[in-house]
Amino acid sequence: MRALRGKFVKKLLTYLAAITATVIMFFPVAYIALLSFKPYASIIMNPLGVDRLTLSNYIEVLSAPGYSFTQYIVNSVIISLGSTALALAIAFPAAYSIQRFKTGSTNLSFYILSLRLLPPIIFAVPLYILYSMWGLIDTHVGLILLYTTFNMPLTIFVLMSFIGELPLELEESALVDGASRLTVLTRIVFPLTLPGLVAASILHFMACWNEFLFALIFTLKNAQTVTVGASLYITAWQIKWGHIAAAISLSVTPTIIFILLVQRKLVIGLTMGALRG
Amino acid sequence: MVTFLFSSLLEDRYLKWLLVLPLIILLLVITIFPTLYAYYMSVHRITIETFRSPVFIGLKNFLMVLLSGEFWYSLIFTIIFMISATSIELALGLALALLFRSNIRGKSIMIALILTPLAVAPALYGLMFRLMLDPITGVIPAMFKLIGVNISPLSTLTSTVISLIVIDALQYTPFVFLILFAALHALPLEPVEAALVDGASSWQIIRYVTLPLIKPAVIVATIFRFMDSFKTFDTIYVITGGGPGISTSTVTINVYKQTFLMGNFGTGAAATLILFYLSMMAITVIYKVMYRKGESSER
Repeated sequence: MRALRGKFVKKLLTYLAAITATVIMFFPVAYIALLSFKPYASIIMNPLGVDRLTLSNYIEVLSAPGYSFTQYIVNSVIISLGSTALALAIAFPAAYSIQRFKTGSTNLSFYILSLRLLPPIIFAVPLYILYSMWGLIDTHVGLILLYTTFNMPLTIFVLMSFIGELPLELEESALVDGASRLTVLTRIVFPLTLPGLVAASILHFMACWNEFLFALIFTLKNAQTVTVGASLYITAWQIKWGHIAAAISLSVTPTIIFILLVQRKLVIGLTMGALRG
Repeated sequence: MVTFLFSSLLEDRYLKWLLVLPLIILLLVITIFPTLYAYYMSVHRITIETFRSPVFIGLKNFLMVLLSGEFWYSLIFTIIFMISATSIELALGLALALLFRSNIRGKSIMIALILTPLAVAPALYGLMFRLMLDPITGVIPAMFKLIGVNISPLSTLTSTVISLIVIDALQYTPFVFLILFAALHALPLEPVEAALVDGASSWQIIRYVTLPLIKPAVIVATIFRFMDSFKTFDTIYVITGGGPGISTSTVTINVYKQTFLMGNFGTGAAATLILFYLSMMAITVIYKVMYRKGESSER
């Protein structure tokens, strides 16, 4: 009887701890989403409660004159998609080459890992002067090149770990049958790596979408992204809490959807293939 | 002749280089060339107006950085921040991973919700807390008031630093959790069963069986949290801007302000080179731990 009760208490505590942890971790996102639907007066007078919900924050953020949040969203979409496409085009052949032929031996993979771990400010300082000379400041292309390069380690290591899982026999028998290496790469390896390419693109897209430092340094107006746009809001419209909350909610929605899609693959991406999911 | 050249290019020993060529060009232009250019910048006086006619000043920029209290302060602040945040994240992440190994209903939904902070851009996560910590409209001071505590977390330096560490912990505990949870999931059942048969308590099992088995995952999670919190910029920049004064400036915030707000590009380049060498020392060790060790244990 006592053992049974002990078991019940243990189960209860486990549930309690799990639910508490979940509530704490999810609270910021949920609270800001709620805030974005509260009218101005309610935010000021009643920070804890909810009396009325409205869509006006969203409408005003998306249509405010002189402050084009829609433009930031468009910029983020162009830059993140552009970088994802370019990164995959460069990373897929490179990942295959490094995984199969150990191209560049340890030097290349060491360099790629360093790029993932070095503070990006190291490159931002000289690149700013170079970008000024090359006319790439405040352009979509400029940010696409930066994002492609600095998120490349993630993309390559995810693809390498997927290519490494493919059975070698498939490629070998095709080679024996007279297919060229390029045919093997495009007709056999590519379709088999599709799930990996999807995972890699989602992770790459999220990394671009969430980037802040380069976007802050290398854009002024034309190529400004949502992270910088939302942070400008807080200084420009100090009191409009609901607007800021709406801008944040709009900006985090795509990445929250994406993370649900790639949950299992996340481990490979987060640890640069040092651990499998 | 041309076809011959082309077909021999498609032989594996040339093709493998052809396949990494675009990558190497990109790395050369966007990373290696700028690093070399940073050496040139570091021995010149360069501002954004005069970058076309820099003046050679020798090692003055390096002296400026090494003799400035601000650089060292930000380095020490970053290291304190890094160690405190990473330790909290490891402890909580491990606890959560062990907790979620037990059979509970609704586990997958709870895990999905716990992972949401990882999806949020650090800059936006910081903004969220700026709203929530606001002394008048913020929900966190309001909740404290409800239990009779009048506190404004961003009013003193100590409470600000603690808040920044807690915010980092809230965002990245899920990172450690996810890595350790996956590692626990992949563990074989036999060692635990054998320990149970031998009459070990659940604490003994965790301490002497589970933990040693997931040690590689713990090391990897620690390395990534260490290196990533060393780079911290976004969250702190949007919450405090590195201030008041320089009191919450990380190294990146310090170099950013020196270079892009005050316009000392030469000094900025010298600082980044010092950072580069400091980081490379750490990365060389990390590479050996992470990949060499992994290879030898697989054999």
